[in-house]
Amino acid sequence: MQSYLASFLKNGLKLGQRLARPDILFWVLPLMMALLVLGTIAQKNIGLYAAQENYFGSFFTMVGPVPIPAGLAIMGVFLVNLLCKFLFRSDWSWAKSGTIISHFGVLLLVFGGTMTALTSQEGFLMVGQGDQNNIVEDYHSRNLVVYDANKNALVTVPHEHIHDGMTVSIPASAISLTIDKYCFNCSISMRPQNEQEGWHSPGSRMMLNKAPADPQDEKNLTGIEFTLKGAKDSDINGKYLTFVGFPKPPTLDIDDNHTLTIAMERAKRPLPFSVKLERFERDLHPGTDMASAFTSWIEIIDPETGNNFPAKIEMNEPLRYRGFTLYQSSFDLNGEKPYTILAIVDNKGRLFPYIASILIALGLILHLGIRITSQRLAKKKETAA
Amino acid sequence: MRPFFLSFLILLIGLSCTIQAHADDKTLPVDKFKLLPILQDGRLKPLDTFARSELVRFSGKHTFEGQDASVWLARTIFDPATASEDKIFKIDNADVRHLMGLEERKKPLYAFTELTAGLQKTFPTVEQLIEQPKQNLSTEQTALLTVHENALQYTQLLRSMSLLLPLNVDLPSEFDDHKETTTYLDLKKHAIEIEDSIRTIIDKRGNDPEKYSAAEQRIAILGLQIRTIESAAQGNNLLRVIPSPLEAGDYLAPWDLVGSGQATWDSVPQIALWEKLANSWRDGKSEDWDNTLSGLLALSKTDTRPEIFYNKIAPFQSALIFYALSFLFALASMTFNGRKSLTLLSALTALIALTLQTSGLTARIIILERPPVGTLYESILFVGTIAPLFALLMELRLKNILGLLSASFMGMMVGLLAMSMADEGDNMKVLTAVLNTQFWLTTHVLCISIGYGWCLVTSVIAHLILLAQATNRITQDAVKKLLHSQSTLALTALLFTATGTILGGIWADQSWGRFWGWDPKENGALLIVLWLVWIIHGKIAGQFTNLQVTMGYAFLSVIVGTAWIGVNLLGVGLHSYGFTEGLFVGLGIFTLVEMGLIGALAFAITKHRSAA
Repeated sequence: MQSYLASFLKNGLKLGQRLARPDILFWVLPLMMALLVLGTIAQKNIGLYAAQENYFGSFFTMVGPVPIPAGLAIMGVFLVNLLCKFLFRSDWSWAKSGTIISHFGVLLLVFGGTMTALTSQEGFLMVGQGDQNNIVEDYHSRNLVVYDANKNALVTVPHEHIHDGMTVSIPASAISLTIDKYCFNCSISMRPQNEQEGWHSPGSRMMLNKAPADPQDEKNLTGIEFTLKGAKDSDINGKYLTFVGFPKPPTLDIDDNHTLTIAMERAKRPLPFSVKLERFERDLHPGTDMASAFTSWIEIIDPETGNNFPAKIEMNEPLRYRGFTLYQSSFDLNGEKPYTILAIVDNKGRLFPYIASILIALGLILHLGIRITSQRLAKKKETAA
Repeated sequence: MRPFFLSFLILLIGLSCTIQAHADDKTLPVDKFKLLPILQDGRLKPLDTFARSELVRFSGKHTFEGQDASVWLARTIFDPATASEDKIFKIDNADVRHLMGLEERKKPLYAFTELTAGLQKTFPTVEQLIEQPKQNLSTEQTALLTVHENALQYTQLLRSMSLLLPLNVDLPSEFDDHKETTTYLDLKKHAIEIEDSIRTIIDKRGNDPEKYSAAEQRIAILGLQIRTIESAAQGNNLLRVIPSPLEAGDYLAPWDLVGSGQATWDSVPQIALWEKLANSWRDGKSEDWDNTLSGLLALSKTDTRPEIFYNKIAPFQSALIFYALSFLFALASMTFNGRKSLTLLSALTALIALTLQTSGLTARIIILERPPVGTLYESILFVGTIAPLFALLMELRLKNILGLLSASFMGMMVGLLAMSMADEGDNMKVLTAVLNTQFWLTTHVLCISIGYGWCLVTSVIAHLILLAQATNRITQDAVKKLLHSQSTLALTALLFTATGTILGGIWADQSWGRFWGWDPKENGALLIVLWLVWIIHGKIAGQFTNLQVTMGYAFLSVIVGTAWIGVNLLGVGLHSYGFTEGLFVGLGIFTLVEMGLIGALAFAITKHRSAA
């Protein structure tokens, strides 16, 4: 048993030392730079979100017909190399203390980045002046949701799973929806008269068309055209459409006990507290339409803790409460009352970059200091000799 | 945009009437005039800056026929009929000149009066062009649109004081106040009576002016003239020189003040002084002119003198000349085996240049009341100052003229880059809300800019090491010392770029809720860090020879250029400044030249070594 353990440790150490070799880093870095350049240029055509997903948030990506390792694969190798270097090949001496601290800082940074990638949730909360809200809408995820009369979600289908020809059955009923057309980004046009048969309003007049995805993910108008079957009242069966932001999604009285609303909407999740907007202010540079500051005066209403308090959120001055960070993201002044749009982020790894940056900078300063001092000492010795 | 252009035709018609021309060619001193504050693009600035930026916009120059821009501005606003003959419109595009029916000249400069026919002729084309996205327009179409936009801006200038200027009107006796001259404001006092009279005439005689008596015709024409002046002045808010009586910090243009109904008793002295100023300019009365300017300056609470000083010394352009001299002295010193007097001269001129740049940056901090770097152009000014400073500090340590050569070379190159990147006109911009933060502009922006500076110093030193080795003008011992300095420089560059990049991430975390978003600018900064880490670790791991390491550091200039300026050309992300074809081509040529130069030097070094 002991010899097994010794052999395991010996081999582990050997493997660790091999994985710690600097030549791995030497080959990983150019790959990382190439990926960075490709992913940056790609943003011009496919937008930031898609480039981020394809190049930096996946293991492999395609450049034309050629598969290349993407961000997760490269960062994985980098992390293993750095971790092994830190554990097995560090020269634990004063002369190398700066390097060790910097390397530890980078390790923390990558670890924090991984944690953020895996756990963070981003969304936005829109609230009008005088109103309160606790529903966060996702920037990117959209769902097909079927609600009952009490606004309970009977079915939720993430948009990635929706495809043409798919059938969605409504539980505890004979009702089913067949997706005739799904478009991640739809354009809307008039439906020709000869194609209007079988359609319910407003689908009889308007139609959804598949359009190329907009590089700015938030701008994509996701929607479906579908056929509803199984209703006892045959007038209800037929073709409908709905899309994200559609003010009147199809609401159907299937029978005395069933009212269904079929909506495409951004994924929603509740905050454990509500935000009330007392007032929103936009300051302009004099004589221009250019904003110099945005400020939301809010009140946090937390029924769980009983904590109610006023707060101010402005550009570069977020509010942090119960692990959530609330940022001033946008606003809407077109309606009768102003609306503020706050970005809500729940990021468990947000402190890592702060600690990491201090360590990296400290390590580099120490390394430089030791290097310059030792150089001067050597010069003095040389002169003395 | 469409109504903006449609009103242009009205303005053109409006220009052709009413304002009296001033025959006297005498100009008055403008030293005090240029100090008067004006609100433009969200910032209070002296008229001097405004005049320069407007003149540059139209003619590409800071002066007009040897005259100060402020003289040109005073003539334009106080004597528009004469000013409209000034040949200030530079139209470089031959197709546009042809399209507008303009005669060919040695210098393609035209007066507004020469343009009007061409502007009307091309107006239908412009109406179509403004409906199209700008990126779809050809060079000629963009140039035509620019001519129209400039003409519109110029018309606003010509008309900015028209409510205070004497009019060429034939006053019926009942509306004649027997003043020496009559202005729009004088007529406005009788506006209701004139309107009533016109209404009575129409009721009596109908709409056909042919049926009016001579006296009635004079009243009708007067009414038309008032309406024409008012139409031409609609939306004229360019010359914001009068403090708003209602909103502190805001300034209004004279027409805006009158038209918006914001004029109060507090505005009366201001309006009266501007009218007096206009009259004294036109009559060439220097004493009145001077006293009125003193009166206006006494009412102003803004000290515009730092900016006047900044405009006058043009610190960054002047520094360029001193860096060029320093470079020449440094070269001469090297040629004559480090002659002390030449080296001292080189150091002295470089120090003068540095002092000028530092004064310029300080002036900008005072004027803009914020840290010196908030835009891409400002980052170039800053890096153009600190990179030579670092190189001079290195010279203090190495004392081998290489630091001087590097400092002056970088001062020149980055200075030239700044000149090419300068927008037309005023380069002191107010910032958007997210950038409007003293803390992050001081920490992240300065840190990353300092990092760029160190990178450039590292790159230039690497070039010099390669050059010295390729020409066999350096001992092995000296190479060793320089390589050591180069490594220290690279580590310093890494310290600042890495810290700056991470600080940028923290700012993004504060503002946008995420530490890293793969924005092109963020990726650019990371690219520099990765490049430095690659070279440093490649050297430690023994994967790179000393020559390859030096080549890698030399190529840092291209990496920095791409990350600092190139990524903005993509036109995406949070730091996008739009695609500039000239800049793209320039960066491409720079990259190719650097590749060729570094490759050729490395080849020469290898050849020397194999021969030895």
